Amino acid sequence: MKGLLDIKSLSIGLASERVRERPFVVRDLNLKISKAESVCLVGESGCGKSVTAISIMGLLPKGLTILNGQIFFEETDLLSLGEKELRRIRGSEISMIFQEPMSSLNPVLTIGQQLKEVFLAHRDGEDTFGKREIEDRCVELLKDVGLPHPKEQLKAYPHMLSGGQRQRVMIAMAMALSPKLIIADEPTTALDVTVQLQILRLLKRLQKAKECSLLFITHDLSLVPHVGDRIYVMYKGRIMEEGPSKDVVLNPFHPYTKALLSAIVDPESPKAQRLAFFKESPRLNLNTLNHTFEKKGCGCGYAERCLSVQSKCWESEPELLDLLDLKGRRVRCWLYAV
Amino acid sequence: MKISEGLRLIRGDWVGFLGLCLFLCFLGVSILGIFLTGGPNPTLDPRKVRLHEKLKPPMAKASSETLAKEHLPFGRFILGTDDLGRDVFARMLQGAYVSMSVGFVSVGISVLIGIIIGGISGYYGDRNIGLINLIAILLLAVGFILISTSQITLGLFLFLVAALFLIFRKTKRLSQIEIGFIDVDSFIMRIVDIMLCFPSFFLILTVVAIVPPSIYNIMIVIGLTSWMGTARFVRAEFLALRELDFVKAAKLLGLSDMKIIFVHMLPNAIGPVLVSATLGVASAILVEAGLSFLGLGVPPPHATWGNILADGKNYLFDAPWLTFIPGFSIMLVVLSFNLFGETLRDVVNPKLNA
Amino acid sequence: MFKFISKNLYHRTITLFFVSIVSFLVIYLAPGKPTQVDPLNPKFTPELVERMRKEFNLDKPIYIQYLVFYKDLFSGKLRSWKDNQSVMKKIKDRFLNSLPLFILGTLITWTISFPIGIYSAIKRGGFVDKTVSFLSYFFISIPGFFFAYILIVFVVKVFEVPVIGMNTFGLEETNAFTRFMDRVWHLVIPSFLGATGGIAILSRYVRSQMLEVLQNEYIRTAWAKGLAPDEVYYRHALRNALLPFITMFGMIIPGLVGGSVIIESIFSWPGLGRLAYEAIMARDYPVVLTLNFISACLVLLGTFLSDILYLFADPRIRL
Repeated sequence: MKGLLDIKSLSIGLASERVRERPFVVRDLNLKISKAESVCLVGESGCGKSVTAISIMGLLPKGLTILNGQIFFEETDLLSLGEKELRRIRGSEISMIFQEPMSSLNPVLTIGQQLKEVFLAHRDGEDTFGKREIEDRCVELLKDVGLPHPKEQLKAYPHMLSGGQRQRVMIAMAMALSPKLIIADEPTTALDVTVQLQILRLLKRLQKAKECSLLFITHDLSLVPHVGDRIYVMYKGRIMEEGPSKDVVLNPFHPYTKALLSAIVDPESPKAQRLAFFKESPRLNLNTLNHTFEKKGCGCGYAERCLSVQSKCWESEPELLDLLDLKGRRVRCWLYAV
Repeated sequence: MKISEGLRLIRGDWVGFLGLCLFLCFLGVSILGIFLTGGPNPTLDPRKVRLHEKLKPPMAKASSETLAKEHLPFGRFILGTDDLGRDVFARMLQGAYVSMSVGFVSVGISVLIGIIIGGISGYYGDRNIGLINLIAILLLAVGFILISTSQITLGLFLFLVAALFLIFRKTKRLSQIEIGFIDVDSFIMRIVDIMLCFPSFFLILTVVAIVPPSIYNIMIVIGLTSWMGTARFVRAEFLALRELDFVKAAKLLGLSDMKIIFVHMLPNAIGPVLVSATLGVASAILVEAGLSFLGLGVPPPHATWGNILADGKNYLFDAPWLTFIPGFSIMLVVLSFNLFGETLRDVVNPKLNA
Repeated sequence: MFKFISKNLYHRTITLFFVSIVSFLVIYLAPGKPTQVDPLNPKFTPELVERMRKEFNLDKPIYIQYLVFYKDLFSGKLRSWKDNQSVMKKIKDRFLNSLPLFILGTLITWTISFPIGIYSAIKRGGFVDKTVSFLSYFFISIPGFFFAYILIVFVVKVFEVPVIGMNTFGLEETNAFTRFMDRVWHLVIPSFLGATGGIAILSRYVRSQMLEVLQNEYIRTAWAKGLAPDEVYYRHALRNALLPFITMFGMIIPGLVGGSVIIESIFSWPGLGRLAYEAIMARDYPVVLTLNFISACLVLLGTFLSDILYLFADPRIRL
């Protein structure tokens, strides 16, 4: 499969701190997405996954800055492009869906206006899309995403729709110009559980139909098998484990991945097994209380909470290494480093 | 650790820090002013008229005649003299105290009123006002009016009845009588609306022209006409806080309403009130200066920055320092409060604390 | 829709009624008696005072005075105590003088504040933003009357332009154009003065509103869609940022009466603000009360207009 997105050694940090003490939000990140592939980026709040996503679009807020790295999108380094060129790509070749459907749509403009904008913004000067045609296309899009009354709802305002419907509109806006890559940043987190599955299925269906790639970001591992072909597990700005999603979920290696999976409430798993992970809460783990990092930034980031922590873990950080016999699986952990 | 944090705050926001510094200078000067110019034999006399020395520019040397009778720093009039030969420096010092006290006291009054009214409105919001309370308030109001129009006996009588009502407020049967459509919030907000219908400077002007001129009356009037903003802020905050769990928990524990309002809710709502108060001091100082300028402020011969400016405007081209010195001083002080207030606003604004 | 309007008007009328009572009472709480214009004035013999009391009903109980007063006000028969002219006529004359000052000042303020505020928000922290902020603080803090004098000195010394009053004395014989230009010159400084303070405050408020709106999620969505900056700022952000200003817009109307006392005093502009000041000093209660009442009406009218405009502007509010 040909590579579509290739993030190389991406590091993002705070813009205002002095150089020496700059904490990293994302450190030395590598991520690849191929054509028509869907990849999940998983991690808890604050691990840097959303920041990675918006940096692809070039929309980092003022407080953060890219310290290092390249983001290759079809042979072009996005970080080297100017604003005008980025604008051309946004919405038409790479598009994004955000987490909060409640606030992601402008309350004073109609759905139709916001949908049509996407077409009008990428007209390239010529009238490649006529007014009539745009209108029809919008109706088609709304139909595709499953809105019951597309024609009337074009004239509606966002507050008249439910959360699920608004998210569908966001998906429609993302799909409008048939982009090659869709980034979905926790699109279902703010929705009811019943609606979540519908939205996921919709995304999957559209992705297959349009043969585009999907970068799905979430903190909920239970969603992964529904959406992703491959998965990256992220913690404190670093990739801890990567591999085909089914393999990782069924056979996790990294202690963090294991902890995440155990946190999924599974009514069928034996109670003892589930509770085993919670009995030894990281705060009570006496091993960690006596250790400190020798130098700031040294050692594995997960050492504080890791249940399998060893003294090596405090001293230096492991590399992200391929596992010998398993193809496509990589782990960043001293347990597996030879 | 604390020093470096403080330094960092200052570096990031030197504007607010500048405001704070200026304010402290002003505070110092006004306190100094009381000592230097107060009492029967002050070091620097703001009232002494020296007609032979009138309209001298700043740093002008005093004549030997004057220096024989009194002591002047460096033998000069540091900020010049006005049309009656009075020392401008001394008058400015005296005026500083007026500006400061008017600013703080009037804001104090308006914040107090605002917190009480806004708090009650926000906390008791949807509750029905109850017949008892309504009657008590009406009686108090009418009694107040009667007293002011010199019908004292009748007024006092009504006060008494109102007091009786308030005492018996809690009795079971009486307290349950309610008036259908009036609840506490809309009643109080209606009063606020009425007060807001009067353009504030106009109202202050009217009242100040009527009551006998004195510094205390001015403070009270400004305080009584500017509480509305604070009341609105407090009400808004309380309406939001009321739904939070810690308030419900306090109620369940059986704490009295007063305690909940003042000990638990108020400290959380104080943010916008502080900002409004700081900016309010600036505004009060400007209003006082304006009133003095129009001749309605603190009566002469007591100096205020406004009336130094007012006296000076007749000599605008001949003795510009009489206008510029008080003008710039007022501006600097008001500026310092505004700067500090804006910084305070950024500090307490929860949305910007990302 | 009708229900909303009628309910709104009903509430406002009640408020107006209470305002009329309160303003009436404020005057009467005065320790000074109404006819104390000049107690040393030999013209005010006790008989004259007594006659004035009878004429102006000062000896009847309060509620009678109240009713009579407002009856006269509405029928236009109310007479000033100072010079016995009809109150309504006096107000009308002065109103026409205040009006151009007010309109020009408001126009300048609103047309300049918005571009400045928006630009400052978009280029936050830039040179323009910092300069404008600094100047704004300066203009907010400077006392109006002081700044007026600085302006006067500056304009008179540098431009030699006439400044005081509405027109230059002695020009009545010249042609219409000269007179017109003379009026314009006299109008410039006072309006400019009034506008600077307004611009300082309003542009800062525009800026902060714009900044707040730009923090919102839908702005990020707009950028992610690949929209040009113009579209993001003016189509998406501005529409939302402007909503509170619609409310403010209604509130400028009351400024016609209350806003200009100091400016008119300094420039000897015979307008409503000055009329109010003179009436207060002379204890001319009919005029004071009428102006009070009119200004309250304007406030209520202004807020009413704001409510209606807001209905149309914000699609989230539909009745």
